[in-house]
Amino acid sequence: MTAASPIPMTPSQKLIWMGQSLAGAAPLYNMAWRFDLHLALDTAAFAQAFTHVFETHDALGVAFEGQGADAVQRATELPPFPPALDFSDEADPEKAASNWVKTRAARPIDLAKSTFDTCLIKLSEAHWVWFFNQHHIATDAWSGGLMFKAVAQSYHALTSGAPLPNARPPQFADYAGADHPVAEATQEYWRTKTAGFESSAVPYGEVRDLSVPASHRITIPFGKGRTDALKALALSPPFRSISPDLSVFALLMTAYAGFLSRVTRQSHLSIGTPSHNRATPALKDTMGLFIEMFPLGFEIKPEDTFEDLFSATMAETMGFLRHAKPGVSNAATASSFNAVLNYIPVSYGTFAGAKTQTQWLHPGAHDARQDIRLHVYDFDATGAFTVEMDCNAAVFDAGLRDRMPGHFLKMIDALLAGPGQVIAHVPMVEMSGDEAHAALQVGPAVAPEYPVVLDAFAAHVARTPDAIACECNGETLSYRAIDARAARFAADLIAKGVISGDPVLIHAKRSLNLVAAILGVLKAGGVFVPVPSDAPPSRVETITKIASPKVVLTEADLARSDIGAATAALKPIAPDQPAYAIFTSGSTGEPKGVLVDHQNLGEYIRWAAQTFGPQGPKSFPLYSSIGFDLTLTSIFVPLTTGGRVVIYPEAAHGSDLSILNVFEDDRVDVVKLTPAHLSLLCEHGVRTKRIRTLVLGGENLTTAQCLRARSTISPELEILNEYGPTEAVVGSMVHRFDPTQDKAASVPIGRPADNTGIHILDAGLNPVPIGVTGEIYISGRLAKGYLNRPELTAAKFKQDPRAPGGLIYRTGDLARTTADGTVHYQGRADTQLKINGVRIEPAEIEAAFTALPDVSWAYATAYKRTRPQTRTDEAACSRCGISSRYPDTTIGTDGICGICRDFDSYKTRAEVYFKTPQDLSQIVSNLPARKTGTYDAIVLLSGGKDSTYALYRFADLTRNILALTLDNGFISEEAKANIRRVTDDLGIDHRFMTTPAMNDIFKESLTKHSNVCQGCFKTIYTLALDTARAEGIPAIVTGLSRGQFFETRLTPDLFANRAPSAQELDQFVQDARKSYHRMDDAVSRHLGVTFDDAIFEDIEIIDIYRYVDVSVSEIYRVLDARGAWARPSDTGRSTNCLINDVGIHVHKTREGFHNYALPYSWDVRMGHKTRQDAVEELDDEIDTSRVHDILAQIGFDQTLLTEATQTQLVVYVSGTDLDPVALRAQVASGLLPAMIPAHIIVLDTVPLTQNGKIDTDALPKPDSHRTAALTSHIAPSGAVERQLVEIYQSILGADAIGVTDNFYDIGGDSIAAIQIAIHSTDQGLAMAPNAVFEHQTIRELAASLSSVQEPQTTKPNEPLIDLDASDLAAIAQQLSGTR
Amino acid sequence: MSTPKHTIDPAELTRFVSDKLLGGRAIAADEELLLSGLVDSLGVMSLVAHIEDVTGAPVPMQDVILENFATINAIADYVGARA
Repeated sequence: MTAASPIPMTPSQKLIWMGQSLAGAAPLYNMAWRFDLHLALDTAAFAQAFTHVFETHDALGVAFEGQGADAVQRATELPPFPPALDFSDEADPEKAASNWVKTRAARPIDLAKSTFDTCLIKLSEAHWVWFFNQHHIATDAWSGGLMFKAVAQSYHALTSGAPLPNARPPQFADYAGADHPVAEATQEYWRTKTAGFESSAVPYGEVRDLSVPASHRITIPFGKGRTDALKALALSPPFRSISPDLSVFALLMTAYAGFLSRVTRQSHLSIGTPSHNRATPALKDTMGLFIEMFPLGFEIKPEDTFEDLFSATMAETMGFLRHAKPGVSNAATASSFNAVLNYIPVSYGTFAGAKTQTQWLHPGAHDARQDIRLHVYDFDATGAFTVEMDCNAAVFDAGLRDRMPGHFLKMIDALLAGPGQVIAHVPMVEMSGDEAHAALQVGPAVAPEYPVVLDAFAAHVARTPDAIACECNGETLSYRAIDARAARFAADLIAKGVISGDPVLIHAKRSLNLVAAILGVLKAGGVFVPVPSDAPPSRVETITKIASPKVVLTEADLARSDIGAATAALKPIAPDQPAYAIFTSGSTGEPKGVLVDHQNLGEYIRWAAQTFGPQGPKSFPLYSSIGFDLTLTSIFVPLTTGGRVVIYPEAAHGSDLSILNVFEDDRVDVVKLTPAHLSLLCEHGVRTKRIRTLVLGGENLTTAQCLRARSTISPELEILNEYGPTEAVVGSMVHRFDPTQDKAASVPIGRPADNTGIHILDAGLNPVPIGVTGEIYISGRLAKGYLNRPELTAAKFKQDPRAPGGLIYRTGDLARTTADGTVHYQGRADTQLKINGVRIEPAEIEAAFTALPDVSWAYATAYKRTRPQTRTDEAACSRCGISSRYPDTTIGTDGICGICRDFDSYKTRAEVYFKTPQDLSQIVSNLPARKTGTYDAIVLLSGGKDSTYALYRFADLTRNILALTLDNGFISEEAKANIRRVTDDLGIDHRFMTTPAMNDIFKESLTKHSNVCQGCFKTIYTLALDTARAEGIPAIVTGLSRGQFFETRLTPDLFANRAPSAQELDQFVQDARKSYHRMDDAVSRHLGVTFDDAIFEDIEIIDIYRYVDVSVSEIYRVLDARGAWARPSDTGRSTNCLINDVGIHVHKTREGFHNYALPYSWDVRMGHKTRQDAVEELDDEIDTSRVHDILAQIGFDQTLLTEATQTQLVVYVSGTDLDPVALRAQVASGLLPAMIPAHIIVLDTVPLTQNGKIDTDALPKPDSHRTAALTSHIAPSGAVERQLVEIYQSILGADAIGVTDNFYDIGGDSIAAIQIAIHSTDQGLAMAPNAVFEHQTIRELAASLSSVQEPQTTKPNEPLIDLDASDLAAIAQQLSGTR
Repeated sequence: MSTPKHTIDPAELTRFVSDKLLGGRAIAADEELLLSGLVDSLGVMSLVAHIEDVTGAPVPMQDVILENFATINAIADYVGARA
């Protein structure tokens, strides 16, 4: 062997080396072949042939040594060719061989010794297997073919007496050692491709587990027919292209992308594919790793056909081929996809003329980031493609691996049969198979005994006339009595002209007469239209307009004592006659009346009675709004089964919390309620003995809610989760909660009710595969439609494509089924949120929260931050100067901003974080013992006054310092001169650090944060950490100012209702630092540097100004005295960076305010800047033409230079002892960064609408300055508290004041106190102004007011509190302005 | 920037294809390059880059079709036809 000089590793090799290092021994990169050679093999000749090939191709004979980035490959000795295995004596030689190669293919290869493992196996004299497994770092599929051919050729020569081929074949080192310059345009192309990459949703709604590289290879029964059809299609317009293989590739890619878009429900996909990267004939003859992986991006629009997608795919493929240059792939291109297509148009040929079969063996592992890898090849030139999929084991279980090939082939077949088909409409499951049954479920067909509820009721009137049917506040009505009263109502209505089918509007509170009146309307043949008593007049008016009722029954009508002297002959009710219309909110805001006939009402009630109370008659409470269809269950189920309706009337005024009375009374058996009600009950800690069955409906029900209900309310509680829209007559499906089985975050919605069909369909109305989310359509028991809205009825009730004449109702709800057929609710089709461009399903976020032990309820929504408006009345804080343009800033009546007010309330508690110079000396004295290199510490030196002073202070303690400056390409010359002078002055080492990725970092920082500084900060920290790690430096010293501490770390949320210790604050800062460096961004991608959290255990970050408090004048004094530092004059302001203006301009344009507004306000608050200086510096002129030049220079997409609307994710939670900071930390590990809410708001009480659903309008809005996104808010209870909250909010100009908030904390002052007192007194809540000071929370104040027996009056001229002249003048002015 | 050229010498093109893409194999100006599999997709991209170098004008991707790249003559015609 020749001397082993190192062969350079190519970028592709380095990526694989890194990947293998991270994966430990997992055989991710084994490329194993099984060649079946049908000949009487001369094993000696084979070994000789192999040795010859090995010695003439450098890619075979290498080993790798070293660690990480320093590893090198070197030529190595050939291990002796192993003796052949003989399985010919085995009972089943083939089975023995296939087991052996399967196991062996998964054996890790020790790259320190060689790159391959090989062996011959004898199955019979005439049948040998050659096993060859090589690490991907030294080979690819093409290379495998070259190797096979070379061995075959040498074997043939040896066995036929011909000379061995002796020409020197091209060597891998020739390629690896050559320079492959990459054009800037090419780099830019791939940067753009990878910049927008976000991990795709996982196929089939499964969960990715990045710690599991295990995978299974499955074979898709593709066959020759499809291969021929695909090849034929590839040659026909419009699919013909510059090469048949290219067209085949693009067709496969089209079907694959279509398939993935369907099973992931993603419209944007990125799929990785290799470039063979052998551009010249010589390279085509070179063994070794050449392929490089690149991402192709796809957008599949709902209306796209295969032809549309093909043409986009072809364009994308041409771009890919154009830019797939050697050496250009990198960590970003290699990881910007979760799926791979490998189309390998290579054939291996025969072995010495003998019949040969080639198999590519799966090592049982692949990169865990990839869900699925599709391979298409025909190594043996059989004319039929081998199509295989490597399925990530965490994502695909055995059942899914069985089902998936069918789905993929459906897409292939659709493409082959009709390329003009809309991809979103292609049926993916066999109509005859199990999957169709899972997605098209039909409940049992049952014929009811009484199709009309009145008949079922009449049967009980006849059977048990004296049994109690209804009770209300102690008053009862027997079945006979209520029947008689109903008959009188009916007679009265008939007398007023009501005939069959006439709507009768009932607008009244819950009472015995209400139930009688409803029965009366039905008896008269009318259609009852219930409108809740507290519906606003405008809504009543609209409903009246739409329904045009013959008669309106109000509270007064029901209370009349003279009804029903008369009786009337009643006509029999026909089952298809309408019974009721319930108005629901329409998405357009206009209510729509859902009209249901007797047959379907009767059928629902029969099913509900049997399902919710199979053991006989039950009592149900009537406690909820009559405008909500859950009330129907509570009235008709008991009355048609001989049970009892227990009526809970509305409170005289205020919100309706009758549900609490129901549970406190505990006098019924079954309660139907919403999940939000359930949370409310659990918060109140109700316990029951009699109430055993809860029927939940209306909203998503979580497992956590059920478990909490069983532990709080009653351990024997039976919980039924009923699903159904009003349009499908209350309930269409039900699931009985089973704590032993139901482990997912949400409780399933179960199986269809009797006579009901549940269809989970795709956009083409086809059943969806198991696991894939589709929209719920309902057939069978349905409403007749919308009252007097035929066009809306036609739009929502569609023809069932599988049942001629039948209708299906489109619910707008999403669901998926699991393999056992259970249906799981997946949220609304239209609630998908988009937060800063990222699509987010709120249900997913909510599930992450409700999965936490103490959270009983969560609601996720998007919050659009109020855009700062150009206002003439723009105000500035009288203390810090921050402008009211700063988002969510409220300047109080005293002229002070919310940030200053907040800071006043916690600044003393924040002092624990700061330490002394002695503490710093102590830390520095320990550094020499911890260092393993030359330096005690790295000091980050930006060249500004703060970091320069910090350096001087630190240099007093040690001179073993390495100063680092990020040269971002825009540092001013004067600043650089300063840096050189200062480091010379101190005699310390200094380096300018830089990165070629700076422009990308700027672009991302500008796009994401509308500034440049974020990018620079992250870059210098990353480079410093990397340097410290490489050189054994135990500390990094920063010149972060105290203002920056408060701005970014010591945020108000940390101090909300508590005084954290220094240790807790340290821990929080450290955790924040770790997650900051885990964040995936341009810096982490381009610098290719990654850190474990553990690095922060080894390397300490020392913020000098945590230990040293110093005034600006002192800083200038010291710097002037040293004489080495001068204020730069070439940057126009107190900065040393020429790109700063770009950040300011972009920020002002996109966000509407100056990005230094907040930092400067902190400088002022810290006393490091005067208010006037801050205001003046913010009012700077920007040279916009220079800004545009720089933006063009760094390649920023200037179309982004428009106003950014900032949408943030808000999550409201309730539960036990919740701490927003801890919650965020708990969910952060399981959510994508974009899914971590900006605001977590803990609610003590969930505001509900009259229908028991979450009242989204009443949720407090996040107020970012007050709490830095984490608020604990206690909503008012009772009329007085509510009234006070409104008054406080109007006077203090703040949203979301909680009843336990302290008056001063929310910006209260003497003027506000007087205004509150005046407004309250005007509104009937008399109080003295000092009451607001005496009772500093609304809750206390409200309590004090209710304990006062007589209204307090005040004498007009009595001074109430001490006010001076200026206060009085201010009061006068305020009052004249507000009254 | 030099002015873009609208011609390409077929003999020069033949040399390029033969030397760089076919390892010295002789090629006729009317010989089929693509459907025969002689030049693969990456090879076509090398040709595109070469044409851009020689003419100084970019070749739009939508022009990279069979009709324009099937033979040396077709390429020369295509380049000549670009205005």
